Amino acid sequence: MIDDFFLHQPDSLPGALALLAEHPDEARVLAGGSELILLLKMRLVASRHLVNIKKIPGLGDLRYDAESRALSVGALVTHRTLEQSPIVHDHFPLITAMERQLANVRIRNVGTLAGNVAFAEPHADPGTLLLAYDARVKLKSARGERTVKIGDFFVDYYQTALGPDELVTEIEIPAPPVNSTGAYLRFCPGERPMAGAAVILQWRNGACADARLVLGCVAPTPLRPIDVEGALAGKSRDDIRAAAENLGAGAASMTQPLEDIWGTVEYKRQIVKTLVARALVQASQESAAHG
Amino acid sequence: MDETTVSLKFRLNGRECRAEVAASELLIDFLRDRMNLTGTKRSCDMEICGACTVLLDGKAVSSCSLFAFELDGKEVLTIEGLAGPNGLHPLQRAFIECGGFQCGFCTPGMILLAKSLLDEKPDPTVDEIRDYMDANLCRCTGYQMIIESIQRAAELAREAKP
Repeated sequence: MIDDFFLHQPDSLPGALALLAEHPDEARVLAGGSELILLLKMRLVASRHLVNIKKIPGLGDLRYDAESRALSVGALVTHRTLEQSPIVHDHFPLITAMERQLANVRIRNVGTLAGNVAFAEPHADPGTLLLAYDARVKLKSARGERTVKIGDFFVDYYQTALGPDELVTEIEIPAPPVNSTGAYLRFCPGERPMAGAAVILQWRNGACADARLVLGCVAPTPLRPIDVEGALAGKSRDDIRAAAENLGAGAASMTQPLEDIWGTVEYKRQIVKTLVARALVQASQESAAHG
Repeated sequence: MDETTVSLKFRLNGRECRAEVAASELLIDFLRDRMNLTGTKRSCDMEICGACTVLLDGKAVSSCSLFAFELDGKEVLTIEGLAGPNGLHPLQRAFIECGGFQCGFCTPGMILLAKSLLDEKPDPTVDEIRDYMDANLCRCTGYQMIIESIQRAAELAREAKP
């Protein structure tokens, strides 16, 4: 079924990074494996050396720093851990809601957020929401470490800024400013979402001071319709609700969805329009989840 | 050190076991072909349908898409290990009583997924059952009886408690 490989189970991060440096083109990293094993079975990727990072202490840490108001999600933190974490629920209710509906409970028990991001499947939930939060991806290699904004991490369909000797060790998610509201909505007729919309609105004196809108699954990477974000600034809650349909249409016109079994380009743009309009209406409610 | 075979120590259906596996061997193949536990079914082979569900340290997982070596140091429960010395598990009795299966192919996975639900939440609402069991497919579409079976199993478990 799966071609034989050499299994490495390092018990330290430097040990894992040395293996990736030694076999940059032939090594694959196993975290949850919920995407990797499918690809190995279909022989879409080859792995002469499999580096299981599950024995490395500390990579499963999930921490919220109250001072910097940022959530640190270690490479081994599963979707299910995020779904059930009270800290995540208190500070990032949109992440809790997103994780609750991701794939199915068997995949959530095994799959990791970092693995999902590193795989960069365009039809996925987390990247859309993480770009709305302006999350950062921490990468380590034997050469050193660097932090990449998630908007720069996603490069193309299944392509990221991750080097062949680098490991995603952590995803850092800053909480939005206080007085923010948000929503994440997606349409998922099969196992993977067909379109998604994440919005975070920051309010000052009853008007939207800053808006972040991200469209998922409808371009090679999660997409920010900057013009629509600009049009949201300065608007009141009532203005946004009244303009939601038009803003949704504007956002949809900027997408480049693929035509596939789930729909034509035109149909997917209709779905995006509706998702954006509903997300804007939802985020404009006084009682909306804080972003 | 690198290896293409791995020595494992684990608990399988309550018994201590040791085995040598190829690093590339999948858990479902190990269970079915090496342990002769054919209650675990292969169907979609891509983590969607849930026919291959087993409980790994109590958590529902797809055995089609996990490596067997991940068993090391862990406990796995397959459908063969569910009945106890006093007979069938309440979930098994409830599925029989309520007709919670038609062709039966999805049943082991459904029952084990339902066990993980009831372990987390002994008294789920119908909506909670629907939401959680949404993970597994019954291609005969016998969902209503499966939901009733799980409600009945929760009842049986409550009755069994003093």
